[in-house]
Amino acid sequence: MSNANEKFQFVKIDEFASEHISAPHYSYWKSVFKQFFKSKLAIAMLIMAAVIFSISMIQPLFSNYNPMASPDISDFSIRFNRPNLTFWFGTDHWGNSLFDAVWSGARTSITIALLATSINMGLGIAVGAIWGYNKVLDKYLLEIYNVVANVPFLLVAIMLMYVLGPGFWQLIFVLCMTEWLSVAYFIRTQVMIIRDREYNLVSRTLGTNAVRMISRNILPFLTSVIVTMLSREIPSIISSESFLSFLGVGLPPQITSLGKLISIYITYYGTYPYLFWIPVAVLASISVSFYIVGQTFADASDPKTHR
Amino acid sequence: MKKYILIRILRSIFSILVVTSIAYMLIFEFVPRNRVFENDGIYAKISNRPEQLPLYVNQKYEELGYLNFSAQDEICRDTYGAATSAYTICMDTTSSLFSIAQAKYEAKGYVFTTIELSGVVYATREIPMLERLWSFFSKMVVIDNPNVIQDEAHPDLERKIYIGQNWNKTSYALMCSGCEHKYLVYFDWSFPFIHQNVVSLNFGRSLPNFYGIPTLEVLTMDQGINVLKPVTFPSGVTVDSGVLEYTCSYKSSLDSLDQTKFTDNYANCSLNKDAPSMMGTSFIFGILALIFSYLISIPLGMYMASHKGRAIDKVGMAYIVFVIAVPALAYIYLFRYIGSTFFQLPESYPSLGPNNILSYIMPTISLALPSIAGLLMWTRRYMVDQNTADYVKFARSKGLSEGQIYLKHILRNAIIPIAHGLPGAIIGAIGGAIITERIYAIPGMGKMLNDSIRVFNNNMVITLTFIFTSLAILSVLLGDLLITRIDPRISLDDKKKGKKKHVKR
Repeated sequence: MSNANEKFQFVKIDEFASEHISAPHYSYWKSVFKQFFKSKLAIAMLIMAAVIFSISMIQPLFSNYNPMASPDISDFSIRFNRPNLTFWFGTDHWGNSLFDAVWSGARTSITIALLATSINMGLGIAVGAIWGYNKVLDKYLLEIYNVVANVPFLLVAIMLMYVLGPGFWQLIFVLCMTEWLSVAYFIRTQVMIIRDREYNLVSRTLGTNAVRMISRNILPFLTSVIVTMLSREIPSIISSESFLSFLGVGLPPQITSLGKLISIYITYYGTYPYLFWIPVAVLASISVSFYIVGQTFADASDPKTHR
Repeated sequence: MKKYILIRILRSIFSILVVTSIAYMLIFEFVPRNRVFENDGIYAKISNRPEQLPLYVNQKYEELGYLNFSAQDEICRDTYGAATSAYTICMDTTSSLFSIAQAKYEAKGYVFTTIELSGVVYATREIPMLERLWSFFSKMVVIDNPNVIQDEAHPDLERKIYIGQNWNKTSYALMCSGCEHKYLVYFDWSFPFIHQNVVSLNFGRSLPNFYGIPTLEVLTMDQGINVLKPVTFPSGVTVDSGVLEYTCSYKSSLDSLDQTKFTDNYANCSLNKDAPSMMGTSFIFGILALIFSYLISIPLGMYMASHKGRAIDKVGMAYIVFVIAVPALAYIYLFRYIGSTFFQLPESYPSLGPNNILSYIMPTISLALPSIAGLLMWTRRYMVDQNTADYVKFARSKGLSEGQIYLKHILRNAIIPIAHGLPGAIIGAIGGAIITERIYAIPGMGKMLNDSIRVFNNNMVITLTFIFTSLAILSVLLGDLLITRIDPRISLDDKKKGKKKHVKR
């Protein structure tokens, strides 16, 4: 007996080991990024978006491009120069460098897109979350939504721009005026779907208040849905903005944007095609890169894709 | 169900009225009213004549509904009657009779202004917004009746409604004397075969483009070159003419040419032209694009679903991403470029005109591009989802071929959501029309909206807003009613017991 006892010894409780969970370590955001950077296309698009974004934010600071002034208007030799080493994107009918014009326009377009998108998403998510959670509010907001949603957005936008007159802030107002309601409606439906799931029922029974329910239980669940929306919202705002400016109801003459450049240079569509196609290409690359980055990020932010 | 439909219709009308009222109030409150003269030729002509300018300006404002305007002679005539001695005295602004008339008008809220150069006096009264809105809606629906024409030149105009024959004595029609239109109800061989001129809508006159023509007429009248053919007029003469007899309306004074052709005062007729009206043009493109997008996207979506993950599926998905991500402006120009360079299709609608089928190809494709993407995405997903449904598995185990399963089983079920998506497609086509009509220079309603905004044609903008909104809202209504027809399981009526299935929009 004693011999046997000597062969064994008591082991102290190892607090560290007993607390260890054998499941592998998992961090949500780390997995999101890991998943995101798996896609080579997304990385390429992210780099492209970053490059376009930084050029369009920095280049106009140095070029001092002003659509109202054409300093070289009397110098005929630099009119309609095709893209070359001095003028990377060529020059237009007044001898202005297209390179300066495009980045100045891109800056406006990107600024408008980002501002309008953040207002739409912010307002839409906030209202949509409450809307989906509150049944009394649902009745009234749904009525308003039914009227607004049935009128074509472009018609509302054109009408409002006509009434308000051209301007930067007017344009942002118009792009947000009805669009946030569609975001809110979408979020409302999503919130309604998961509002009464078991884990939320339990949480509510335990006495969680509505604000905490929305912000901690419901919205985190919607991350990937929200990012998907975001990635669609930016191209759609860029498209609407460019089109309103193209129609001549968007921005005043002092401010240039890619849509406006396209509408000006459409005259040279046949004779000097670079004037027309370069702004179109830049416009398309901005929204495509933002869209693909957003879509990939949305996929990555869905925990189901994490392995 | 009937009650439900009634409520839905009332609600749709209410929505249309709300949107139109908001548009009306915003436009007439915030758009500076003098901008309408920026492109007005007459205004430019008389702008250096300060004695005429205020009269013209205020007369136009009255036409547009901003204010009530009375010139001096109108004030005196209104108070003392025409061609009386009191009227003559009243025309002197220093007289006591004029002061009485002035006091009367001032009590009604009029403000008097004297033009310094000529000494002419006129009175104006600003109409409050709500009164203006009310008069807009109260004048909107016009019902033609034998008491409409009150013409001082023809006080003894006969007033009756009767059944008569048309000029060629080939058809009978309900006709009228004393109405605005000669033919109230008539029949011919063009769709919808029975036509009426009794009820019409009035949105005011177009100004300054299509100067002075009622806005709705601008949108519905034929465009292009006159088409002449021999016409026998009521007087018996036969001339090569483009006159459309059923459109004839009242004309106060006939010129010598009219007198040789017409026996009564209904001589104001529209002309037959070779191109469809603005409304017609837009409808043609809208319907073509709708048909085209369904024809392409449903078979292609099915094909993509049955070849999931293969090359065709990837190409289709790339196309969807392309349409969502690339701005509409960019891809429409890109497609136009491809069409013109590789297929020699015209870059604009007017270059070959409305009677050449080639003019329709590229605009229709451009208009359909976004809806094809939406439908394609939807059809593919629906098909992929249904692929694992029990009824499909059963059909497969019975030994049906994939083609039969897709065409006879899944597609049948897909009809309901397809019908449900129809209103959305129509709403999308309206927005798209504004873009494509501008880019291809198509003389339709979308281009008209753009042109009207440029020249500050407020009445036209409101008319178009009304038409587009009505189309959108009515298409949603019809879409909802259509699915209850197709699928008996869906009931939109709350009160029905048993199976209840709401359709969420």
